[in-house]
Amino acid sequence: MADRLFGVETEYAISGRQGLEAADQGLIVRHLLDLAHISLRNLQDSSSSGLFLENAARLYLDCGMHVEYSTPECANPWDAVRYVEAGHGTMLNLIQKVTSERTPEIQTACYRVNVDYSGTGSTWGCHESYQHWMHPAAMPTDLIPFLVSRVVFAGAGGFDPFSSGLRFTLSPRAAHIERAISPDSTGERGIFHAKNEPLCVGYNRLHVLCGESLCSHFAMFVKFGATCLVVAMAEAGLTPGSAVQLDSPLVALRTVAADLTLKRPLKMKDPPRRMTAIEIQRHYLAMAEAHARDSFMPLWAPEVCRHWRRALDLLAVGPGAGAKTLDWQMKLALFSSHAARQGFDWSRLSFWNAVIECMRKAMALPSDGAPFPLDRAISPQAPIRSVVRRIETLLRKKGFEWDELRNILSLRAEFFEIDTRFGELGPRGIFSILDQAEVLDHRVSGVNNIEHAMRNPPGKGRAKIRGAVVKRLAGDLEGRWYCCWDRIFSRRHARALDLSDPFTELESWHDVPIGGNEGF
Amino acid sequence: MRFLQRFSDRHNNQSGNDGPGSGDLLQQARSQGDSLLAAGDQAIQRALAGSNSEAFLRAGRQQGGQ
Repeated sequence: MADRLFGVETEYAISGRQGLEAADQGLIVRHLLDLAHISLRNLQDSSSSGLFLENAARLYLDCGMHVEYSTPECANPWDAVRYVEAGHGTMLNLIQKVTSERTPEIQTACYRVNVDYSGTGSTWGCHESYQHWMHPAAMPTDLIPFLVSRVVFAGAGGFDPFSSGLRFTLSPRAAHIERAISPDSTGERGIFHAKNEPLCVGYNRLHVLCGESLCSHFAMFVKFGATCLVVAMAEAGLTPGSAVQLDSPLVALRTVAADLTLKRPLKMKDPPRRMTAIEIQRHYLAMAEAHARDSFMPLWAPEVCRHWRRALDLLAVGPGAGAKTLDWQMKLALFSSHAARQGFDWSRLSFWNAVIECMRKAMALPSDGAPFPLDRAISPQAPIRSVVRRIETLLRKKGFEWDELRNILSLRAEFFEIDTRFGELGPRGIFSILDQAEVLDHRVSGVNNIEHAMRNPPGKGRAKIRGAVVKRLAGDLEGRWYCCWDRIFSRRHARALDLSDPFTELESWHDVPIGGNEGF
Repeated sequence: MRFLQRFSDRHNNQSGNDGPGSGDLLQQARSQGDSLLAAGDQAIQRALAGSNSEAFLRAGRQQGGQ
């Protein structure tokens, strides 16, 4: 059975408030990283202001103000979920320390959230990296139909950040994906990026950009596990995607993200026909089940297939069946319930969104997520009076009134706040509260020992060695040790540890000439 | 506008059919969901208590980055 390695990067949203005023985010982030340096065993990251931790993970400041946590290389989906959770635990401890030790006057919080609803048009990423040695040219054919359709179980749920109304989506991040494949991870974001940055020798790295930060262990588990199996099948030359080619991956991604019924057919090519996202997923699953015990598959392939099948079976029942299990269905249930309490009928939202879209286009307003100016649009002086009159005829026929839309728009920010607070780390987070109340069914047997994972590396490959060496050398401040994914080194000691083989089980140290660059 | 009319017609035709369809499984899922909704409503009320959503979103606004 073949070993595989993969990891997850989570970008965290951080906020601070003094009363109603927003606090300086930069200050909070600086305190947080400073406290990480002081309170966690670590070695300095050689390529940034970040650090590598004793569990072999990396904590650093990404471009701008993102604090990002990369899990160590994991060899199975249980570990991947465990180390994502270890990252959340580490971040929660740090943000609580910021408040208690540095800025008691500021109320700080940390969120696993995917889009910024405040109007910046920004997103927080949750990227996945999968080690592989397939030919890069095979990747789009084999992977894109899978990555697009996996949104049905791997979508975080939330709202389209570029809608002027209140448009629920299975995947808010989907609105930020601009290309099928991008050259890197930030500009014109793709479903995955093609930059050759393996961070090791002998393998390539698939870097998936369309994923989202999730709360459900089950959804995370299936997302990581199934993606690994598809990569393994592609690597083995089974061409798992060749029979399910999407006519337009981006159009398909947006369609899947917007389709709560999960029944909307996607346009396929070679040959032209239509398939739903669930049908595409069943195609991949059937192939994975047929090959689950083949030598190129990991030992845990049958277990992943079992969970993957359960996810698709739940989805086939319809939205509601997965309300305790999958992120987007949890949110859909909570949002529609909250809407009812606020006096509007959730099932009418799609109609009102279409009304807004019609008027927005008539007014030539940009699709940038700014709240729709309803009163301006329907005023007697509005330049789109004829459009409004026709809409009003339709409203009268249906017995609807503008006040209903006015109410929805007034509650828009509240729903965005609920979505953000759903993923708040710690006991105030809505997901955490539901989990504590034991009303969810999202846990995966075997995902445990999170506390242990915060201080110890996985048991396999170079992560195990990196963690052990970080633990050992963290106190040697005189040594001025530096760490990166594929080595640990000290110019002072003229020594370097080679971690370029991701599966290495040996601590392989070598001398490097003082003043030279080898190993540095 | 024609789009909106078409949308409205489709919406009317699908009402009652828009979601998951009927069946015992769904009914069961919904009844099991009652505890989730009750706990969720409580959690949301607690989260929003005294909060100003606009200020909340401003405080979490991404400064720089992607």
